[in-house]
Amino acid sequence: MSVPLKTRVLLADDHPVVRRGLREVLDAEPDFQVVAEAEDGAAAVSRALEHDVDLAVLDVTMPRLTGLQAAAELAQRRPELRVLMLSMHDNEEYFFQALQAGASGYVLKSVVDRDLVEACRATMRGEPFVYPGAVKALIRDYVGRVQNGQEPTSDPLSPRESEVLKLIAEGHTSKEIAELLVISEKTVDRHRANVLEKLGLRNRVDLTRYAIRHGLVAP
Amino acid sequence: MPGILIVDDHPAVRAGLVALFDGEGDFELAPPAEGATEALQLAERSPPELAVLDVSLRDGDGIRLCLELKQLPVPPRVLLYTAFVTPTVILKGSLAGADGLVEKGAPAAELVRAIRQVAAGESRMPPLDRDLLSGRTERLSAEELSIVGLRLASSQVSEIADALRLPPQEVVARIGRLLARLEEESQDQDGGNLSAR
Repeated sequence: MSVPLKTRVLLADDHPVVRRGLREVLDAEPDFQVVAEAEDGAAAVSRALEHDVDLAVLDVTMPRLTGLQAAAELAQRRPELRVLMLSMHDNEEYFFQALQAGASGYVLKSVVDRDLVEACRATMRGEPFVYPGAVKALIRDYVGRVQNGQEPTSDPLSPRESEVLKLIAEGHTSKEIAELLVISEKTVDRHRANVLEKLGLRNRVDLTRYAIRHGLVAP
Repeated sequence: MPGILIVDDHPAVRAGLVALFDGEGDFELAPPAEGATEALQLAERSPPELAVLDVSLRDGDGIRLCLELKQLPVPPRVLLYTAFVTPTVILKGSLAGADGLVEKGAPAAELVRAIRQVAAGESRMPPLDRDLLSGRTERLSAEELSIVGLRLASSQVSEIADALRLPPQEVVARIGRLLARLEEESQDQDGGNLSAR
């Protein structure tokens, strides 16, 4: 894929002022134009599908669908779309999940002014953008796996189960979850039971803790 | 509306606030600061009329910074700007003398409205839950409680100093210790109050 003269960007972050700031940073560059914004992960997916965008910049921590979940869904439904993750957290687990979800880069919010434009350009050239701390994590992970002859650990939950888990942790009732995901309440309860079973957890508090530890909701 | 100081450690937030305020036409901005130390130096050199402070800063926190800014000879009006509005943040903000509190998820227009209100001398602090207040304060001494009570009734440090017959610096030091203590206790209590954002 050749790099367009002006890359059309979708920005997704739940804070309006942050979106405004990111827009300032990108619109100041001749080769980027922000054409759509989204305030949560679900809106990011639908807007990326309905607008003609080349690049989606997604915050990791958002309501309804996290940026990671949105990235995974977009990778399936619009594989040619480039995705860059934005995060408050210098957290290896989020970083690896971002790569698994198909993102080609991970930018820390604390250095957005320094890294964002460069990361967007790298992403559009088809190159990965990795911040310095993550390079160390990548090397350590690779060396560790080679030494142990291990496969990387994968998420025990299906994408649907992760969605249900996030919504439970956000405090939605089964009925609300059923409406949001357009499935029956019974199916929601079955997913909940499967999640508890798979993770060996007992109740909602455990579920919420797990969801926080794995970046599905903010603490 | 002259002299707004923005303090936030995230460049995207600073850029967003600057763009938003510039768009208002009548907001005059001081150079934004990334951290508490820088902000305090800037404020001492050219006192702002209003400060918009992020609550969590890399080199300290906005609530402590608020308390310090409020001790300047001509203290600015202060609006706390935070990702998470918890009861503890409201209580601590009130103790530090903040004039308003806005959540970062709020629409931009609401933030602008809050700034205009605070600049005009109104208070934009959310009300404090009674139960929470008694829960948080039951372990405080009588003297600490009187500081909390006076502070929640918007008393100035000088008034509290008069009432308790203490030097003003001592009152500020005690408020500082109270803030630290509430922070420690909130680690347990707000931790149980899980929300999605």
